Amino acid sequence: MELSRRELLKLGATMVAAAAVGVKLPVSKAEAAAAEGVVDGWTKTVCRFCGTGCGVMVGVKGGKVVAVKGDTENPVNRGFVCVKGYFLPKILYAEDRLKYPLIRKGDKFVRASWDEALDLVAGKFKEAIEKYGPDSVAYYGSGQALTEESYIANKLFKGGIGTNNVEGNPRTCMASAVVGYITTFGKDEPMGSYEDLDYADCYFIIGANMAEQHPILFRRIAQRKAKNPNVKVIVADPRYTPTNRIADLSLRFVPGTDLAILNAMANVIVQENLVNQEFIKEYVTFMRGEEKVGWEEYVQFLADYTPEKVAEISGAPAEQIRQAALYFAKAGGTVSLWTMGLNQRTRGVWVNNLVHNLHLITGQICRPGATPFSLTGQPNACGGVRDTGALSHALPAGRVIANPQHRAEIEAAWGLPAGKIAAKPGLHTMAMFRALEEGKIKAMLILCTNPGQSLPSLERYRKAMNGDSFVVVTEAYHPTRTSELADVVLPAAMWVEKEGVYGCGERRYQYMAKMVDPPGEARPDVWILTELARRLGHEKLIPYRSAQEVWDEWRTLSKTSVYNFYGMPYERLKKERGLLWPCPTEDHPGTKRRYVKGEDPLVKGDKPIEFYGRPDKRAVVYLRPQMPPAEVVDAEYPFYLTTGRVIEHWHTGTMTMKVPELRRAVSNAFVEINPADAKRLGIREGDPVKLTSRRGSLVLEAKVIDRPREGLVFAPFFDAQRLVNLLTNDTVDADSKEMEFKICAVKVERA
Amino acid sequence: MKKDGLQNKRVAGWKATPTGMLLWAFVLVVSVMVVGFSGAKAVALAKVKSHPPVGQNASCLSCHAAATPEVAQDWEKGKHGLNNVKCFTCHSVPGEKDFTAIPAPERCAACHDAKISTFQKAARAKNGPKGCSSCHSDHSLKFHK
Repeated sequence: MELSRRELLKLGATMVAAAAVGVKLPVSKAEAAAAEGVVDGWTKTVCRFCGTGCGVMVGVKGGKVVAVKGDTENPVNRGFVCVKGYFLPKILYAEDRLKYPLIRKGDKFVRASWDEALDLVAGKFKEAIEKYGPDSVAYYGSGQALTEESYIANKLFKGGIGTNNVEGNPRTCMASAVVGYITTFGKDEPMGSYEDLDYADCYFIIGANMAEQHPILFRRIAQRKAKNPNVKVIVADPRYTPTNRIADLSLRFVPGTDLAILNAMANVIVQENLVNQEFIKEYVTFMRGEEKVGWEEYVQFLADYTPEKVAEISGAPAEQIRQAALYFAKAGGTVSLWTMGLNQRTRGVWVNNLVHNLHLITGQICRPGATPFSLTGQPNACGGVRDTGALSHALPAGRVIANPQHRAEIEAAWGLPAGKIAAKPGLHTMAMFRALEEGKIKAMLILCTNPGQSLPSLERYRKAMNGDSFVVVTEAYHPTRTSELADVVLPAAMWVEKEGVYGCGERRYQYMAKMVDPPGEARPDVWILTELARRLGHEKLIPYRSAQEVWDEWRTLSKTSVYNFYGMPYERLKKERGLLWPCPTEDHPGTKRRYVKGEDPLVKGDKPIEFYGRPDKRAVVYLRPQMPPAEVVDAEYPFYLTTGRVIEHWHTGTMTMKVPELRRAVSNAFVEINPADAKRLGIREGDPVKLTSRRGSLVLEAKVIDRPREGLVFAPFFDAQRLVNLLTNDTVDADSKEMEFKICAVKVERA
Repeated sequence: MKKDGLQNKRVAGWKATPTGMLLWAFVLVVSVMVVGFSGAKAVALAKVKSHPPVGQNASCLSCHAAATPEVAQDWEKGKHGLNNVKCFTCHSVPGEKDFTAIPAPERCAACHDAKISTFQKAARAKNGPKGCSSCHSDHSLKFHK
């Protein structure tokens, strides 16, 4: 192409303008560095966001993270990252990274030294413990903290201070899945692994929007389906989501009626003679609550749940329910996948049990491509909090406070006098924040989480955090909706600024190296907790000088449990792309399928499968009836509200809202409303819509879209300015104590 | 705003010529001249110096579904659409300094590192590929368009 000089001159102005907005190649410094090979090096680690546990390679240049790419050697994601993982470097260099300790003085936060801040924190905790006893203090941790951090906090509070008031956001997220696994199989955590996704012929996705919330695992399923046209995908959810794009069958049911649907599927399986009687004979027992019952009683129980009857209450057509059952039972292998749609419920445990039932009566379990798999939302909820027992009822490696033998084992392991660990379980999350509200909790440490935005019935608990009790928050960013309420904010190192282990949704433990220094005076939480322990006089209990020392203690402690991962020292984890426990020795390859003889080293019997978590080595099929949610719609509050996420943002947005690309893409919370409902209420796209529940109200912009079914609205919770949790319900599941975020009743009107 | 959509379409159509990849604005004006818009359109386009400002809750697709329907549909049908690799991942967003109509191959490295290396080797050869879209259709990403 030849251009005349005059044309070139004319062009010049445009080009300058283009250059001014940065339209140039290569597109950024980071990419230029990566392209020219001028990063100082690439180091493997794990993504900071969701529970999938994708491996990423991090490029560092001059002490700064300049690039990230998917780790092609990591079997979890095989080199791919989602839109959040793509922008990981930017979360480290947000303007609101907290660099110094802050102490509240009146209405202001004032910069303080570490000594000053930690002395103040220790002093307030000591004062509370001396005056009001150890149960007047509490810890609220996180499924994003490193395993080493959660382990130390658990040990310090339960073994040192002597209170079981140790909780964390995993209670809000997967407590029902935990109790579901424990009641059915005797032990927590999935028995399968992500590899099962590569072998299944049927995927039963219920209460999970995998396309947006677990995009890399969704990709794996979509790819399998594209290559194997016989593969069936069932998506059951009150809302159509991008996940439905690969669905052969979409059940869009009335919120809260899924217990009935799952029983109806079991009914069809029984009626159509698709039951695996041999499997049941060998491995299954039937129970109604604590009472053992027989097969006949189970069949009789199911008789109430015909597809036709369930169609009436659920709004899912009988034929769809029947078809879902047939796909499920007839497939060579079926994997069920669920997330918060089942867990964040007042009958979360029961609905988890009902999914397991389907696998147990069909024998769709413990072989490649057949497993009930609970997906996890946070990167270290499984490894860090579930496995270390950093919750108020629990102790490390599947032990519970209520069991005196378990307490004695941990007292011995931690070198404590007998009886040091309090016999009474601590306060579960909602009870803990209510105790804060009542002034019974005098001092609270909140680490790596944002309850000021993420708790349900939020206004009440924000007031509690803002009350007279002393609240300390360790955070990478300030202000957050929690740190703004704190008395002391401690600057925390994050992600590749510290070292430790993350354990993702498939029992895979992965080592994360420190690659760069944290900004300013920010410190790893391991250091913060160790320093706090020292000031509280527990330096003998918490003597660690490194994260590795913590890991080695925990690894050794696991030896006597079904979690046994003694074969995973740092040295090995530094080389491996993670390992799945049990992994008892350094030459053990890890366990892809638990309870399977030849794969799981803990199976001792002769049978091919052994549910060794249960006394009779048999998994339980529970007779769990349909139960309504805590709040049912009525004339005053005629709509159901459900909450969740969008692909661009992760949880409360403290990280993703700092990435310009992600913030620009979705900058505000909105409310999705079905076109038929919108028409009836005179609401048009973009209109302000007022949502009112029994707990609060909120105005959001309308998105009129055929995603939620009629009678349902949806709003995401990432937006710190528009807090949808002002509306949500803090009623908890009787067994798991998880809150019913997913269903509450609201009024919807044009604002 | 819709005018902007036109630019993108022209860019997409023009890119495969042997002249190779140039600055977005350069492409825009060249395409205006070569492809031969009507005079009025050419003037209007030449005045656009950057992407118009975007409203608070506007996603890329909220304009581009109408402004550049082929692009939006190709994307949606392709693997990036299926897996929700949205516009901003490759193009960044208006207001950011790396916002671009034609992402450099390096921008794809986070997921397609090995392929980028292959491309870079091939690109050194005479008549080698000039960018990802030398071989892959722009938004459906089909190989050997």
